[in-house]
Amino acid sequence: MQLELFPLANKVALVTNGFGPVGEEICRRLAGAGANVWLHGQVEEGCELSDTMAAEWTALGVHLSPVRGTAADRQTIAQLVATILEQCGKIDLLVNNCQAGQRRSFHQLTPADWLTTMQLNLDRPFLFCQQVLPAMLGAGGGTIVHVSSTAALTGQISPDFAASQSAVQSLTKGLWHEFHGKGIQVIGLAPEAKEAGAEQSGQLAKAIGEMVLLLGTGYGVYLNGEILTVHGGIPNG
Amino acid sequence: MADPTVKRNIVVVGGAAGIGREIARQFARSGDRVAVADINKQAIEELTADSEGSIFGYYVDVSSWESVCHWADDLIRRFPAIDSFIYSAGITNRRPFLEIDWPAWQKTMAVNLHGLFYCLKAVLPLMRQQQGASVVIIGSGSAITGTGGGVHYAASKGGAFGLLRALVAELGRKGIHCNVVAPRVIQSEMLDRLYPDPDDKQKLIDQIPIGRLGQPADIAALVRFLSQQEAQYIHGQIILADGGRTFQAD
Repeated sequence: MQLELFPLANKVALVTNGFGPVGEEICRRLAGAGANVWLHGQVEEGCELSDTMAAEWTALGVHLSPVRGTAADRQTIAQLVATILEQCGKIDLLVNNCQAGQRRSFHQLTPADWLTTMQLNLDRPFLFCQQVLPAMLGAGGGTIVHVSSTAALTGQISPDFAASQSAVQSLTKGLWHEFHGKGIQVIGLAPEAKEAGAEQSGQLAKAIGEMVLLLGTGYGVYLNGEILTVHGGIPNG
Repeated sequence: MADPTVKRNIVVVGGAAGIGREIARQFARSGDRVAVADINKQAIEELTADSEGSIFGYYVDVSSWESVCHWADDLIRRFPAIDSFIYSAGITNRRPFLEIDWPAWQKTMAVNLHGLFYCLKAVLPLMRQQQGASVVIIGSGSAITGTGGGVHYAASKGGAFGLLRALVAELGRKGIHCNVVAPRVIQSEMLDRLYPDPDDKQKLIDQIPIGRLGQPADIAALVRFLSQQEAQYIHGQIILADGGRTFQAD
């Protein structure tokens, strides 16, 4: 079997929470394989995307959609999806990167922190799925990938982060159960949640990018409803 | 073994109806002092009226951090140290994914998931330490299968799993063991609302190897067991109570 040089030519992909090592690696992989990629991500108030970064993405053919303020803003999400459908006519692949979080203890965690994490990692993928699924169903199929983490099982990083990860994995299962007979593939990827050195983090991001690429090509189509752990062969415990 | 003459302080959130009510009643019947928190005022009054003074009722909106804090301030006066905390609050409104509107999603998350965090945040500092205290969260098998009360319900219940695992180390050091009990179909007001047609309910029963719906008493007995000091070594577990339904071939 020989892989095509650009296996995702004519495919349209939307990657959420894309400004970070994992999201950027996913976008590079998809764009490198010929996909028309739209990158949605939150940019801190007062920060601008660097010219270098913007130029790099433009050269790759990636459309940038940086947002400020509430990342789970329903109107912004609906507008972005409408724009993509207007310009491209379809969305083949939705990648919800659900890995917003920071290390903190239960004692340190405030109700406001909790709600912010849930907005980013749970409300946002819900809203994107609701906006994108009708178009996928209308087109006869599509692939949704939720990138969560092993913290769902191990409780690492923080209580809010871990709770959001297990919640989004249940969201993945629920979507799979409801839509698997309608041409929709729903897969969860759960990379290792341990904080690692820069090199290891890069390897992990690369591995997630490769997995998403595989799923985007359709070679992994027999996988559905699974939460795939990606930990480089280093088990927990 | 625990001394049966010593009354323990038990807190059951969502304890005025359904599974939570049976949990509260079982603890009260065994001689424990029970505080029930619920948003259903009428159900609280009915429960406390026939409890012979062993169940104390509190009106709480768990989706509000302010309401939970206010309740915790009241609770500490009557229950200066809590032996067992049980979270049984839960709502759902089963509907297809694309018909889950934003308010329904928010409300389900607020009660089933955010309320759990708020209550733990407020109550854990009030719990007895190094004396076999416990936490039991009523989750759901739908978090594992994605089926049942709708995708929003599954996601909200799934959140309890990660939260549980995140608390294992911290609570373990304090001698507090914590677990999730994950029922599937239990005879309750919620189930009657979800499956009003007897034929649909029979189809459910046909999928359960043990041959019947679960009863609130089944879950209450398990919760009481897990709440005891004797169960301390069971810590950080998700225990399915499903009559054998989940992990079987179709």
